[in-house]
Amino acid sequence: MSELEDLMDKYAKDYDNDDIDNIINYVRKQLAMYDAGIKPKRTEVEQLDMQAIVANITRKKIIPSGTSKPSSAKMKRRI
Amino acid sequence: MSDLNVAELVESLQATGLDPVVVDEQFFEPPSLFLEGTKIQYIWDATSIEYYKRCPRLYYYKMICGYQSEDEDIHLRWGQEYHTALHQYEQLKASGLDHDECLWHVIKELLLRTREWKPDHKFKNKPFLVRSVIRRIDKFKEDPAELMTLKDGKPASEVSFMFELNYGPREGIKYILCGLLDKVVDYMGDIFFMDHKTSNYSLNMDWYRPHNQMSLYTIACKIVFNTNIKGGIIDHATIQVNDTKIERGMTHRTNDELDEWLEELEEWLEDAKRSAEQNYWRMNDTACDKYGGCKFRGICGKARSVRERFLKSEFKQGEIWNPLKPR
Repeated sequence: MSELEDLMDKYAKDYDNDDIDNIINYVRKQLAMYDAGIKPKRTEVEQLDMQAIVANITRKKIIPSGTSKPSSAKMKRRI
Repeated sequence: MSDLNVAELVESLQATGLDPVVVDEQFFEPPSLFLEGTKIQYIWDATSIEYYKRCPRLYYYKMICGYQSEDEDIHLRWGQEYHTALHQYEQLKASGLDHDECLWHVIKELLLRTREWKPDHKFKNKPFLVRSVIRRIDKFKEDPAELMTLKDGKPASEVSFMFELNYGPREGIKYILCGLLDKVVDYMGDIFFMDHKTSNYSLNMDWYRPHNQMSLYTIACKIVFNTNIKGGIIDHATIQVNDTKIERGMTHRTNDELDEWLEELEEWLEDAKRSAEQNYWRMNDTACDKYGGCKFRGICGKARSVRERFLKSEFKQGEIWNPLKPR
């Protein structure tokens, strides 16, 4: 959405009516791409966010041994 | 499905001791919702009824003290801007402009209104607002739910309603119910009110039956439009990271359900009056985790002696919600 934010900021600065058309066209194009199953390219900031989320998930998976009970399925296998 | 007309509805309301009267008036200087010099509310809308039903303490913090968190401000403003944009679109369309012209003006006005507003929120931000308005308006370019026209020729978009009940908190003063119908539409020959909702979750129609607001609006619509009404259409926008998904669903009420809602309302209003007279607002500690968690949960979890101090530091006291104030 940062490109849209740029367009909105430009309008807030210049009050150029052409920017309204640009904003509407940009949003419609993005939504049409989404409808067609084309994922929008992530911005650098969004990529960093995703990396942080993935890192967080990875960290959560590392649980010190002995702190959680094995699942019932694992228990059955052990029995 | 109920085939009652308003006369029958009014008759049935009278049978339960209620006498609704339509008050068709727009206030530019909105009156206080409370009896002068008291905390007794006599003008009620769906929001304030819902606060009290959910938790009298929540009602006290919101409706009597006017405490608000910054996060709530963002949600409220975002919702108001979304509603205003859709209302403007209907007005422009009714004036004869074509779809693209209407949308252009709506987006321009939206950007001008919000030029100083910079909400820092993952979903309720300005780009998502602009995207949601465009998505919603384009989605129903050819809307099968046709907007009705009021008697004065205006489109039935943002229709205020007020009506009196035949009992009140004091001698000579009756309770008044009021609200704002987003739209009244004709869908396949039947009349419905339409309510715009936004959320991060997909529409689930189980949320709306029973539902305080939808029951009140069904009653109001029956009275105000003096006609058969089939119920409400929920026009729902799910705000997602890459899309705003627009969905609709219908919710109906039988006359028996409406009577039950009205009968119980009398009990609730009496309870609220008692709380106000005693200035004691009990906590409903089973509601703290509902609706994503009550904003005041952290306050109610503290000792009574320090609550006031934490309230003042964590919340700001803003303008108290008044549904009669023009938006």
